Parts: sequence; C-alpha cells; structure tokens
Amino acid sequence: MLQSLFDGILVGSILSLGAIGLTLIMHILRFANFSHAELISMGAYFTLTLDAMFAAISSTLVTQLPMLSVTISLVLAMLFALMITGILAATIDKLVFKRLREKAGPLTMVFASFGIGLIIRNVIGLVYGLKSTHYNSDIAFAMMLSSDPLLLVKADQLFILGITVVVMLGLHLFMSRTSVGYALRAISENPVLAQINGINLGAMVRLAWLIGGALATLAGVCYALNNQLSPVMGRDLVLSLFAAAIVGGIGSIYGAALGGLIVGLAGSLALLIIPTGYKPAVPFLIILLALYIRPNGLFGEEQ
Amino acid sequence: MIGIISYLAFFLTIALILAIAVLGLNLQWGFTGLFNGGIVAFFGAGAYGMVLLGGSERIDGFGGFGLPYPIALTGGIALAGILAVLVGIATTRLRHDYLAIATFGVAIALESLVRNAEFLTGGAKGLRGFERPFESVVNSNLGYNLLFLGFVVLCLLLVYGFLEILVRSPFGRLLRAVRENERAARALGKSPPGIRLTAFVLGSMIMGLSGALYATFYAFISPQDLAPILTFQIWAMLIVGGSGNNKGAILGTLVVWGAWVGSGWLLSTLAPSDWQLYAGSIQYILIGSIIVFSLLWRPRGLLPEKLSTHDYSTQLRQSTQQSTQQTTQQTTQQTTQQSQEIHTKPTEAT
Amino acid sequence: MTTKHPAVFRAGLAVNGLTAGYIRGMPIINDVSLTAKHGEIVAIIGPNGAGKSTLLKTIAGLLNVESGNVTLDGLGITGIRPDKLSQSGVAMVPQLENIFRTMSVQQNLRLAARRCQGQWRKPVDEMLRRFPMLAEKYKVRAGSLSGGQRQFLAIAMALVASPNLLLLDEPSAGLSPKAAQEVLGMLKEIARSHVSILMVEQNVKAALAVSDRAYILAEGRNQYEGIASELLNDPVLGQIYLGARRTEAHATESV
Repeated sequence: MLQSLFDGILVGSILSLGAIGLTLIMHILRFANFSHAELISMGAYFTLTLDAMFAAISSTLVTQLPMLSVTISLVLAMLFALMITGILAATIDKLVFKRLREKAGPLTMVFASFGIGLIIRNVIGLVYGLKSTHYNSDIAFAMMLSSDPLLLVKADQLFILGITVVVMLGLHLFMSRTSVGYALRAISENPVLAQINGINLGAMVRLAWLIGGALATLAGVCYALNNQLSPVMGRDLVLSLFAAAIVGGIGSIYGAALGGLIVGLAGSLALLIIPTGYKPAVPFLIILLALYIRPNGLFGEEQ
Repeated sequence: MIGIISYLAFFLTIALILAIAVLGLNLQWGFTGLFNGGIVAFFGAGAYGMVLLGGSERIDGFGGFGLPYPIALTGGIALAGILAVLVGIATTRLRHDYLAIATFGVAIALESLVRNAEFLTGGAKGLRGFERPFESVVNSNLGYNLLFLGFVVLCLLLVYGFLEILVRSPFGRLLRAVRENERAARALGKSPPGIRLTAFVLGSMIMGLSGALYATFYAFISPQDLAPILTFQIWAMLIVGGSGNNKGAILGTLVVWGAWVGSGWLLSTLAPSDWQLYAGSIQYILIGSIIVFSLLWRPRGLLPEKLSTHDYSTQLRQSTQQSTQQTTQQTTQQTTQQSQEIHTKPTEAT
Repeated sequence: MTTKHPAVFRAGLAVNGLTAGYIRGMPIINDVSLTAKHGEIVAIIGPNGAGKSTLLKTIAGLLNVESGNVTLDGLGITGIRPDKLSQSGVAMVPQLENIFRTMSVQQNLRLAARRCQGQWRKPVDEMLRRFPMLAEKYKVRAGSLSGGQRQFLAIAMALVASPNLLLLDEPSAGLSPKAAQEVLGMLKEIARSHVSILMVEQNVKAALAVSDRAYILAEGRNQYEGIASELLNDPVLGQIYLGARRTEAHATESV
C-alpha cells in the first residue's frame, strides 16, 4: 500500500509536469491537443541524443551525480532539450495550428493534432528504432527505506520528485511574482481584457507553447528514468494527461498539478484491485466520472 | 482473371464496409459538428456484439448464443448505440473537445477490456467460430465473396438512403440549424444537446454496423482489429472526400483505402527487407500527413463550422458572451422596455 | 506612454463610415461616423442591440473592420492590434469582466501598467493616490471587491497609462445610484486633462447630464446627434428608442 502510494505520487508528478502545458494550451487556444504527449517523447529522445553528443565531447561529463544514474551530461542534455522542444512546439503551432485557427475552428486543430501526433510518433520510431531504450543501461538498485510496510525507492526516483518540486516552485514564483507571469495568467483568464491592457496575445501563446514544451521534456526525461524510452511513450500517456487536466480544471496550473497527482495515485491504487491489463482504462473512467460529476474540475472556470 | 476479380471483390468489400463507417462519421461530424476521437470503439462494439450473439457456442466463455444473423447484427448495432449513449450523455452538453477526449478514451478502455477479459471476449486470441450467413449454401469461395459484396453494397445503399432522407427531414433541418448557429444558439440558452446526442448515437450505430459486417466477413474478431489506426483512417477518408457530403465520403474511402493498400504493397515489394519492420510506421506517417495537409490546403473538405463563416481568431479576440446580446430577439423585447424608461426616472441599478 | 503631438494634430477621435461585426459579411454596425475631441465627453446612446458595444470594441481593435476607418489625432488606427493600440494611448473599460478577478488590486494595476514601457511603479502609485479606496484594498483579490470598487479599479487600469482616448462601455451598469454618480462625475475630471472620452451608456439621463455631446445609434447606424443638454428634452430621443423614427440605409442625418 505504501509502495503504491509512493509509485502513484511518482507517476503523478510526471503527469503533473506534462499536464500543466496541456491545460494552458487547452484553455488559451480552446483546443484539446492530442499531440502534446508527443512533446514528452520528443523531449526525452532529444535528451538521449544530446546526452550521447555531450558524452562523446568530453568524458568528464559522463560522471554520475552522487547516488544517481544521472550524469552531468544528461542534465546538460536535458536543459538544452527543453529549449529545443519548447521552440519546436511553438514552431509546430505557427506552421499548423495557427493557420488552422485563422481559417477554421478549434475542432479542426484537434483533428490536426491527431495527425501531427501520428507523424511525430512514427518519425521517432523511424529515427530511433521501435525498441525501447534507457539513458543508462546499468541496473539501478532500489533502496529499502522501510521493510514493513514495504517501501523500495530508487535514488533516481527521488531525483524525479526533486525536479518536480523545484519546477513547481519555480512556476509558482513565475506566475505570482513576475510581470510576464501575470500577463500569462491574464491571457488565460480573460484574453480580451488582457489585450486591451497591452498584452500581446500572440506572444503569450508562443510563451505557453515554450513552457509546455519545456515541461513536457522534463516529464519525458523523468518518465524515461523511471520506466523507459519508447516511441509510444507519449501515446500511452495522452489519456492520463487529459484526465489530469480535466480533473484539475482546464486552465488551472495548480489544478493540473493536483490533477496529475490524483490520476497517478488512482492508477497506482487501482492496481491493487484490478489486473494490470486494465490499467489503460483507468484514466478514461476518471474522465467520465469527472465529466458526469464536475465537468469544470477542481479549479476550473465555467465555460 | 479470376484472381483479379477475386482480389477486386475483396478490396471493394473492405472498402465499402469502411465506407459505411465513414457515412456514420459524416452524420456526426459533417452534419452535426461532433468530433468522434474513438471511432474504432463503436466499430468494435458492433463487431464483438454481433459475434458474441451470433457465434457458435463457446466452451470457455460467455456468448456464442448462435442467434440468427439479423438478430446478432441488430444486437451488435445496439451495443454500439449503448456505448455511444454512455459517452454522449456525459459530453454533448460540454465543450466540443470533451467529446473528442471521451471517445478517444472509450476506444482505449474498450481495447484494454477486450484484450483482457478472456471470459467475455476471448482476450487477445479473439473470437472465432462464427459461421457466416448462407456460407453452407454457396459452394464456391469466389461466389460467396461476390454474394457478400452484394450484401455490403445493399447495406451501404440503405445507410446512404437513410442519411439522405434524414438530412431532408425536420430533424435534419434542426441539425443544420444547431450546427450553423451553434454559438448564437448556445448563448441564447437554446443549445439542444438532445439533438446532438441523437445524431451522435445514430452515427455510432452506423459505425457498429460497419464493424459487425467486418467481423462477418472475416468470421473472426480480435483486439488487433480495435487498433487506434482505424480511427485515423476513417477520418482521413472523410476529410479527403469532403464532409457534409455523403457521396464524397464514399469516394474518399476508396481513395484513402486504395492509397493505404497500395502503399502497403509498394513497401513490401520495393523496400529492402530490413526496412519491412518500419513499413507500418511509414504508412502511419502517410495517413497523418494526409490528414494534416488536407486540413491545411483543402479545409473546405472538412469544416461544418466554416459554414457559419466565423473568424475564430476574431473570436479569440473578443468575448462570445457579449457578441450574442445583439441578436434581434432580445432587441425587440428590450427596446420596448427601454422606451418606457426614458421619460421616467433614471434606471435604478440593481 | 502617449505620444505628444503638436496642438494642430490633436484632433481627437474620428470614426468615418465604420462597418464592422463579429462575423464577416454580417456586420453589426453600418457606416457609423462620429468624433470626440480632446477634453470632450461624448455619449453613445440607443436601444439595445444598436451596436454600441460593438462600436467601442471595433475602435479598440478587437473586431474586424469591413469598411471605413478610425483616426486618432490624425493617425489611422484601423486594424491595429488591440494591445498595440493600448500602448498608443487608447484605453478601454469593458462592461462586464473588466478586472482580473483572480489577481489582487496590485497585480491588476501592475498588469495594466506593463504597457508603460517598464516604468510601472510611478503610474501605479499615481493611481493609488487618485483612488484612495484602491490603495486600502491593495492586496485584496479583485474578485471580492464590491461592484463600485471593481468599476473604479477598471477605470484605474485604463488610466494608468495616461491614455488620450478613453472608451467606456456602460460605466454605471450594475452600480448603485451613488456609485454611478461618482463614476460619471469622475469622468468630468478626467476630461479636463484633455482626454477624449467616448462612453456607451444605458442610463440616458445620467449620461446626457455629464457629456458634452451625444450620438444616438439604433440598428447599427447613426440616427441622430446633438449637444447633450439639448437632446435631453428632444422628443426625437424617445421616437428613436420606440422605433418610430429610424434612418434608412442611405439617408443619414447629419448635424
């Protein structure tokens, strides 16, 4: 039970990172982006490539951080990857989604996102191969933090939790103390009012994609550390991300963070009762439940 | 010669079975503006429903009641309908992309159920032992396939005819009204989710029919047939053909299915053997690209919302609440109110 | 900050033959024209559905213009993005949802002052000086302010960047008579600093009492205009509201 709780929070943190970007875009642009999860895959794979590059450049970078399997080169790779993924996300918007929302409506963007997701997933498969892989092929041993109730924890998992906490804190400070953070919140809350108060809608949209892409990269790297890298890693997370965003309330960053934890925990605890094969159905049930009971989620506004 | 006819019959049978599903989607999207992100769930429900009801007795599982084909077929369609109601009730009164998400989810959930519930659905092995109707009567394989093709054409014509009548009926006019004046209707509180739900369920049932026919043809159904790619293929068929247009839907099906089969054949003959593994990925990229490029460069093929010629980016720049306060209905009501107040006291603020 | 033009160019707002709406091909306002000089308070009145709010939104850059143009101090401002306009001296106070509820008074003002090219402190302090009740509620969530306080905050947000055109959409709506008086009275003071004020109002008497001139709009078109004090007793007013008198599409009354 304790192990399930821990695993749930861990998965939940990863979901939170991915869901924040999704909820922002869903709210500001009014469209459900089915390709958001592919940003997670892209981020993870870009990190893989950059990690290999940095390792080739200098062997000192291959030193592992204390207790972790994570190397300095991996951390550097991740930092570069999150910028690249963010920019790529904004570029895809500019090339595809922006044109569609100028010509047509939100549902057309949803539809295009299906297509984009399909393309990205399979391009990754073509480039990196269809098999799953890891950043580090060594087996990481779990530490037994407690024997009864059983709790096994890998050091990397603590690293993941650490990243999540730091990022959430950073986001919170950004949103509550910086001028740009206010501007983003303003556009999210009331785009019309924000614009007549001098906020550039286009710039904020680009920012939302940059943030979304960056967070997705972090989520991807964490997921890969905890599980593995595979071309379908994004696709497998899509439904859970939507569940997290819906439960938390579309448009609410805190909601997405909380929603991620809830979905992660629900999935983990559900495994105590149902066979593993049914796990993919859990986010769907959560979504259905949320839509029947409280469609605006925990912190969402009336639409 | 026989080989060609046989192959053509096979190709057309599958294509037209899929065309039925595309017609169902056209009702949902082209006529009502509903986004079904999990077509394969309703397709699969129809297929599994029919096989469970009409198949021969299963030793180690539920189903196999061996019911007569028409009943089994109806049962499959009904199952698809029930699934649609479950999802539709939750979502048709909410923002449009919730339906997309929920239907996407139901497809994943259903695939997961079907893959694991061995007792109910045969699990990963699928369900066999289904006896195709009249199979024992017709002797030649080709003969039966042609007969079945004829049956599929009949079903297609029936569905086509049904939809054409529906569009011209009062219900159809109501659908168009809801779709074209969606925003205005919604803000005036006139959003009729019941109408959208009906259209959604009907469309899903048509997809269920398609699935049932598919399972009939193969006399077999398994979780592999519920792979998400089918949803994308059906969508691509609708976009290429032009939505809102039933004839276009059928044409689109033939084009896209032809491209799919053709590309598969090309890849298997031309690509070096160590690339074969990636043939699937390449085909998926093809479908994805068809979708994205059709949307970018042939949007007319897809947009019921385009009919209301609303400029979405303008919508982003102003609030929809206030926009519809200017509709004439409210104008006439309040104008008379206004004129009475002008020459009396200043309006009291509440 | 506002651009300082030589006096000869400070002609104020001029709207010429504006046709615009939310949906292309279905304009709500047709061939509307008006002017508002610096230091003038101009009211726009008319029955509901007349397109008054639409007019303001179009001037603010929120809607697509099908034909006609808008100039401010001689410079064309048609088709410019709303955020750019707000940096060039145009400020708007919308009717509903005119403050950010989830943010505090401070954050709202700071946000509105972002367009002051990085110097937000002084303008914000200036607003707090001018609206002491906002200074009291500085850290309070804007959503929990009373109607009147919210309206003052919305106006403060519009004024913080020293605009030369102020657009107000029903500033007294939903306010108690006292608060409405305060708000409208404040407009006179604002006008004295040479701001052009264009105000849509439902409260005709109060609007005409505080404005210099007024335009009457109905069915998306100019119907009548005149000096505010004279219009108050003009029977034409009632006739237009009752629909007894409307301009045809091509015959526009001009004063």
